[in-house]
Amino acid sequence: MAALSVIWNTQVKEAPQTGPSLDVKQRVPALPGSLSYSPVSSEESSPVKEQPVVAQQRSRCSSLPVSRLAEVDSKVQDLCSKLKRESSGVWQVTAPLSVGKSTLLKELKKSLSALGLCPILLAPPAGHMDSAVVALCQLAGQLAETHDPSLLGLISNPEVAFEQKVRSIRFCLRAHYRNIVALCDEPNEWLPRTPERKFFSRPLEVIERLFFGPAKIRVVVAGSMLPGAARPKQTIEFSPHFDPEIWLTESEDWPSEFAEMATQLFDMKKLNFKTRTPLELRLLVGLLAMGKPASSFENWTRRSLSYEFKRQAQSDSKWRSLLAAWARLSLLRGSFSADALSCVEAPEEDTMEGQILRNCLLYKTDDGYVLHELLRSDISGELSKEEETKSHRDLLSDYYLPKSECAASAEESVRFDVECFHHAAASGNLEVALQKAYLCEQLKILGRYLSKEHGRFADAATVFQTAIKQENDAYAHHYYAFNLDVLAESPEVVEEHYRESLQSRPREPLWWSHFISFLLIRGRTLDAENQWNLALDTLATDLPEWEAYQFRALHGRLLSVALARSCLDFADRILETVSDDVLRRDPQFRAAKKRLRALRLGREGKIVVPYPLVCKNWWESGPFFLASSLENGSTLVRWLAARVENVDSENVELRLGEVLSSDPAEPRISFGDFPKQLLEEWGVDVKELKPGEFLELGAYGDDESIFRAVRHRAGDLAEVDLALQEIFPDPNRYLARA
Amino acid sequence: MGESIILIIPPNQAVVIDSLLHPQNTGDCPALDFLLDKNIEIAALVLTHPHKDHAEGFDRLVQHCKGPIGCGKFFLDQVSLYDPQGDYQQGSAAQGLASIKSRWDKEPSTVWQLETNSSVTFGNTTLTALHPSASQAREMKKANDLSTPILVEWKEARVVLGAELPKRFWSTVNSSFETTKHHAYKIAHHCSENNFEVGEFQGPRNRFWVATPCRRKPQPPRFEDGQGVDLLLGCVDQVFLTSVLFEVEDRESGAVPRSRLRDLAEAVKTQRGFGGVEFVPQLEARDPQQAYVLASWDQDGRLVEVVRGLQSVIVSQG
Repeated sequence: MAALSVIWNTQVKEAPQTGPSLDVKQRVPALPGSLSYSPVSSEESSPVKEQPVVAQQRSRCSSLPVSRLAEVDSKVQDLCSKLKRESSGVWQVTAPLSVGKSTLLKELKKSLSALGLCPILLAPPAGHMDSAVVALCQLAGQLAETHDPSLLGLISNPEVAFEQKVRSIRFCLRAHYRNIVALCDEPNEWLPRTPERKFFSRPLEVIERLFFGPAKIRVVVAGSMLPGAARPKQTIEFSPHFDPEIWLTESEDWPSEFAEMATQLFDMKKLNFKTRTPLELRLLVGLLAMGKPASSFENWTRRSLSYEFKRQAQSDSKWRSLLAAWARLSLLRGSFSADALSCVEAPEEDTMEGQILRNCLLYKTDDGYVLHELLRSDISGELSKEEETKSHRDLLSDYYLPKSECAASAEESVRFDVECFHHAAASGNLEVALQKAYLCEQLKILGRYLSKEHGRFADAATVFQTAIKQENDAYAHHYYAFNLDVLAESPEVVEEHYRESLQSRPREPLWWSHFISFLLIRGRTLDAENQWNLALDTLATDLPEWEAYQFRALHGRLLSVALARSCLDFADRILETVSDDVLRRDPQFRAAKKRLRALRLGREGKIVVPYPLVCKNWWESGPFFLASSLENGSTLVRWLAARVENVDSENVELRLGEVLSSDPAEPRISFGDFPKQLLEEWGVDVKELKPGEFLELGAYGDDESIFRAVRHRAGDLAEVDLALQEIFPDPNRYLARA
Repeated sequence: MGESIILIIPPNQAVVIDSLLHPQNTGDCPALDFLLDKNIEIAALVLTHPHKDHAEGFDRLVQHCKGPIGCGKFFLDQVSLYDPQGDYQQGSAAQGLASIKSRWDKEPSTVWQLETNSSVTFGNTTLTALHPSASQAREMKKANDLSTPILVEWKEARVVLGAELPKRFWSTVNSSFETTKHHAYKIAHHCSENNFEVGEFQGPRNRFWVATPCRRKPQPPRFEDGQGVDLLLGCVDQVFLTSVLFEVEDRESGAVPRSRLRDLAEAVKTQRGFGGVEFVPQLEARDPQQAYVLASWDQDGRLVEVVRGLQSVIVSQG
């Protein structure tokens, strides 16, 4: 019998699902922490079979809150009857966040199968680079499983053109459309949440055409519709009721100490239980288990609960393995079996850490364990880059590759292959990633990982070159050029592919910026200026809809390069085309403006104060270090700002700035050779003094008879201006390869 | 501030040695503007060394050049030595070098590696690099030590462009190329006395010498007895200075005795000092577009004509 890990779990994407039977009375209860030791339907999702210590302490099973199950049942039945009656159309299921839409779809799939229909469930991970790829592969895999086994070989063959793959899928769908029902879980989340999403949208556009175009199939969408999709035939609202009180008080499947905590929680009447979700309750129990006093829980929201949970786990080294396992598990997408727990070195089940992990952080479904999306995102960043790469590598070699090798069906094969690809790409395993890549989009993703995450620009260039051989893809052209450019290799090839990409997609500000920066650092200033003018015309940057991030993409990088190469005139022209509003508000552009002004003053020989002070009217606010009076009461009557120009054995040549009463608008610049001994007498240790350093010189007393000098500690141009966009790669890279 | 030399080869070609940008209008490269205005083609370029006062704007010239581009290869991969980070003109030399590398990569026929005795020829004109040797290029790091003087030979006329080569190298250069036998000499390193050895430059007193003082301070050149300009005038009757920052009385003729320049330089030190130290004010070029000297020679090296901008002067002893 299937263990029902509470269908009122609040996960966004991986809501648990009920067992094949909808007879709620037969269900074995499971706690929201899924401390269910009852057998599960899927072998892979079976937890450790030996009875752990804590498990033996369990008392009796309680009843589950049935109200929501009943709502799922009724919705599933309602939808089944509609889908049976109709031969085509789109039905949309809407629901508040995290109430179990995904569970509903999974239940629907089972019921439709029982009715003899062929449901195809597309539920890729949300917001990943490869989400749409995974969705398309899931479609092909399920069609291969149910209708045309040859599809699997076709879709996974890199030699076969994308369009041919699509044609085969379309053909199969058309041949069997009477039988097929497509179930789409949050299709609006099938693209990454970054501006790059447009480069990975092609598989999604295919699905859109296949499902929401003229094809006469039935489609059920859980969540938001795709922007381009047809209007749904019917929108079905789904808002099941959850009663935490029943769960807390009657679910007695906890280990005994957890049950006590659940009761303790319930006894705290101030916790607003009616608005708490099962995830929150699991976290609250977990916090109690970790020794956090319950009195502190009252005002914590779901978001802060997750944060507090992490903080509590970080606060004591005894939770270290729990924290590490949580972080590593967050790298998994979708459900996973107990094997994955050992792969991430999760604490053993018979320890408190192991129990908290399994009951409070994870929950269990028919397909295995699931980590809630919120917990997944909140732990991100916990692992160092090296640890993350290693975890991806371990998950690939110890979990997904073995799974992939013994996949029992086309559907499983696809499922594990796409995960193999994901972890191979994330860990930089070029060989496996290339083996498991079905579509050109995956090569683009792989190249991006290699370049951006692993700094393997040569490998990235090779992968993009492979992608170009498969398809004439603008993104692949551009990043083939970019990675070669980073390596300062084959500049003529770089230029050719930059141009090719911009010809195909001329409205990408960042791409223009890469290309023009390339020209500029190659010393081709006139070409760069010409392309800049072309970019401005093409992109129409003067339109009001241009936003700060677009200015940063196009102008920001170029400005940094132009300033680094002292192309001040060009920098001026770039700044002139930034909107006033962005110029005023964006620290990057303010910094660029300041830097430009400083460089101009530098050219004019007017730099006598450190860079941070250059753009202020320093002569109005200084002196900055000189005392206004001395111990003997003498007051400061005159002061000069100075930059060290040269130091020889006897003298220090200073460039001096002083505002004269005859010309108070601007400092007068002069030079003076100061004997070292004199500066020592005035208080400056000249031994370490170097050109480029700054001093303040002051005269005290009415007769200007006492002198003091103070050295600025920092602040020349070499110091990094944090707000200015960092230049990557090094603008001198082509010269360095000379 | 900096120096740029245009060598016009009749009828319509030019070689440009080094570059500068307008001090305020940094988009303007005077040498390029001049040649574009006169519709003269840039047949070759030389970057004697990658200091900013010689390299600024070189990238613009490269994009208009049809022929060989001379530069020491050794400068290219050690750009950080010659273009230190934190300098307020950081990157200007790198930009010039990058433009050379870019052109060399694209058109290997344009490579002119400046090493002793390497040369290019246009019709009757030959340009020869006088320094450094391959071993010097390997051993030395300072840009001035590696800078390349150029000998220009057109029929009988000989012009030496001194770059910024320090005086200790000139005896070797002279013995190899007889550089004292010249009709015109662009004085090394803006007339700095560290770059001039009287003994290596003795010869006829009517030779045409020009210096390009470029600092805002009134030195170099120094005008005092026994220094800078005084040393030069020990070898020739007069020296053209492309720019002085003092107002001279006879601006039209531009003729000025050295003693007058010395007095003018001294006079500007009268500003109020500090703690007993005298100050020298930073002086601005009054009219940077007028800071030039044009000269032409016949095929025997006889000076035919000199035209000077109003910012330039002719200094003689006295």
